Amino acid sequence: MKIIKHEIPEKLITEDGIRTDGRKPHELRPTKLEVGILKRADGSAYIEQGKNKIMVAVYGPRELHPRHLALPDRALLRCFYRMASFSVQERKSPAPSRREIELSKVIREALEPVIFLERFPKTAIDVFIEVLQADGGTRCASITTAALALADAGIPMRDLVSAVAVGKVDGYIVLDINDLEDKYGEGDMPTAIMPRKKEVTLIQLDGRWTPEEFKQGFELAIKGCEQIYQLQREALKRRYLEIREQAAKEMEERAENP
Amino acid sequence: MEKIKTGDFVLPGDRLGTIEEFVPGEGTYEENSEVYAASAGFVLIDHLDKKIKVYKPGVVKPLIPRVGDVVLGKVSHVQSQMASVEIFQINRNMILTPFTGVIHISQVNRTFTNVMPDAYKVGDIIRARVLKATVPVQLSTIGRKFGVLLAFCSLCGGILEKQGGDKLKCSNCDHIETRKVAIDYRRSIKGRRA
Repeated sequence: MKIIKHEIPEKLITEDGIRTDGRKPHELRPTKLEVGILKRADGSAYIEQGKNKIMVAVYGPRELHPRHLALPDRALLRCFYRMASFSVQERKSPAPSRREIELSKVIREALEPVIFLERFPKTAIDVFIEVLQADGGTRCASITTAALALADAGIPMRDLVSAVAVGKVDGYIVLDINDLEDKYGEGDMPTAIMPRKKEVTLIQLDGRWTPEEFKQGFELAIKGCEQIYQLQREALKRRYLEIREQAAKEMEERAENP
Repeated sequence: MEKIKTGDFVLPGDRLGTIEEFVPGEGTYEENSEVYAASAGFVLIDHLDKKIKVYKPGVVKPLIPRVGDVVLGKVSHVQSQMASVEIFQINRNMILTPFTGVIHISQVNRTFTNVMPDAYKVGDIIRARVLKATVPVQLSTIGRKFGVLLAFCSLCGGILEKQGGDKLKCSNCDHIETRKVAIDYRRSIKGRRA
């Protein structure tokens, strides 16, 4: 068996501005989004962003047990971010870690403002996020995918949520950082926005950034989110055209043999 | 911006128009006197009522009980005045996690019911109508097509057969029981021997 070892390059960005995976500083990783991949879930979505592979399932609104957790005026949104033990280089313990619990909370708070929770009192909406392979920026990819799964579940929303992480690497501000840049870079800034409402639902910042760098990074993040939003649109449209075709076919069959 | 028309694909947050143009219907919401889509789907404009909807083909989602829906459920608990029902089907669509419904004795039948066990017993499969959609869902079985669709003998567990009126007879031990029986008892659900 061959043990894969990642070598840390001396420079994360070459003089001509090429990153470790061959991207330019303001370029997203190749991203693939798919909606409605799980048959038994109310809504589901899947993302492949670079080497990230994340699956999201949404259940609900459904009855909440134990009943005393239910809120009298709105639905309870519950997010569960989980990393598979094979998702990273070194085996991760399958027990929920401090980081996973925190990310669950952060993702929940990024999604909460877009959902019309008040339309479903005393129920729960569950979002299960399963990270199958992690390569940096998983919280942003999770939010992007969870928004699609919620839309697939037919849950009324004010807007979608699109998210992307911006990083400071070798003094450059770069878009959509990968694992290497996350670990050995100088800082990262995950950002989630409502692309139509132009509102921020999540912003975190790590490392030392000057105010100018922050400003530049934030503008870049918004641009990145808009690119992600276009991908989300296409993915949902593909799914809905599929559903429409299927429904038309079923109607035809029913008309032929009633 | 281009004007929205019937058949357009929209996503949550897409602007559909102003409230002067349309009455916001299903799958839409109003904010600052503008109408936006609340769910993904295709636009449906009713020019007569000036109503705008976002329509999704296939199964209605989210699948939750709404007022007026016809549901199927299994009686899980019976008290003298109340019965609890585990709803597993809404308008012929199976649901993944059951909703709990309750029937009050006054909503069992048009005529007087003395105690709940005269009408329903634990394990009965019933059809009911939704009166109130918030959890716990309030149900009613007033009407000919509502009531028990399949019931089991309280002594031996055998399937009960229709005897006429509200009387049922056990196919196994000839025990006679009463139920609020739906008109299509044992016809829509066959049931296996317990």
